[in-house]
Amino acid sequence: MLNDHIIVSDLVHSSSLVTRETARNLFSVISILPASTITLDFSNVDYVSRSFFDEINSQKRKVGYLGKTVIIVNLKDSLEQLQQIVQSSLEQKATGFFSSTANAELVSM
Amino acid sequence: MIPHKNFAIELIRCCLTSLPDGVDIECQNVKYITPITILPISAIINRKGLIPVISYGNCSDYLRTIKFPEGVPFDTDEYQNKTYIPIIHLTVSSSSKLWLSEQLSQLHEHFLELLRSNIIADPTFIQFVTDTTLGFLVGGTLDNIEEHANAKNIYIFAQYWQKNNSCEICILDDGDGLFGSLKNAGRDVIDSLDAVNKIIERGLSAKTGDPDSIRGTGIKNMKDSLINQEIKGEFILISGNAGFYQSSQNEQLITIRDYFWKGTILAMKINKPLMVFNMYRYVK
Repeated sequence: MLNDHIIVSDLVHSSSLVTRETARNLFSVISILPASTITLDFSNVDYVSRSFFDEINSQKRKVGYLGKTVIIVNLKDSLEQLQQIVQSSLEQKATGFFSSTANAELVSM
Repeated sequence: MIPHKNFAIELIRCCLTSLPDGVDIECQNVKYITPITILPISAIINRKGLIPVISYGNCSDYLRTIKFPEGVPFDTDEYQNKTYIPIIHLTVSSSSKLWLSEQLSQLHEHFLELLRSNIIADPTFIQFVTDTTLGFLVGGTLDNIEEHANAKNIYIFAQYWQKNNSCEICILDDGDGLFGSLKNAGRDVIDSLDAVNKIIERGLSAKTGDPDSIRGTGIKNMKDSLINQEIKGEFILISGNAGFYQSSQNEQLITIRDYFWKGTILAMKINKPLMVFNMYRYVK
């Protein structure tokens, strides 16, 4: 199974990809594969967290230094949208977009 | 609105300070139980090893039905296709991050299945709120627990009300809490209120790694997915002796007297939107 085409849901035994640790573990598998191009197949994946995508982006850069290219395929449309948001937010992070609690009432209970 | 927010905090405080070695849960006068009122009490009772005696009353049957206080494991199919959702309790029995990560992924998957199969009074509720939104709200919280909490117990409980077509999900852990997590990561925080404030206001994060990691988006995105003109939801976060509450009308940073929750409690109230909700309009 551990060739250059990985069915992600089979590897993690879940259709939900929630945590960064899951992404790190996935890439620890990828990093020891001999192939230079690895396809991550998201068939049967119903949910991917924002953190998972964020970690995937970070890990993709790292394995890129090892000369490996990671390609993602078969993402559901709704997950594709989230992946794009995560990509674009990397640029927004530098400019800041957080709301303020200045309007929050401070109460003691 | 979560009108029981103050009640919940009073109830939790009462439990923390006055639960004796045994406990009688007197339900005669209790008419309204919600996830945020009942889940912390479950956790406290289980932590103290108490055996509650549930008296008969308005809510007693319901408490038994939802498996209060002990809860059930997430990986049982016994509770699928019911009209209620039981309390789910995950005991963290391994220090392996990978083990916890796998458990949380499966918990997420099973819990979403439970919501899908058990919120059936109005089939359009899930259809309009969308799996994506529910998955995002639950997943974001579970990821934070895995990443920062060092929790021994994780509880999750949801309730759907057909009458007003709304659902409340509460997720609780007994880990380091927001202040502890930030402090452990070397962040500049002075107490629980400061931690809550900086997380909400600046997106301060306990994540380690890239320099950008000091700022997280998880809680802000969850909040923004709920507090908008479509979902008109509510968000409540309690950790240590501090909390934050937001609805579309109201926003409060809360200091809680004589009370300290070791861990984090998050509750989210979701109202059925008028049409299919596109969460991505609010997530950054």
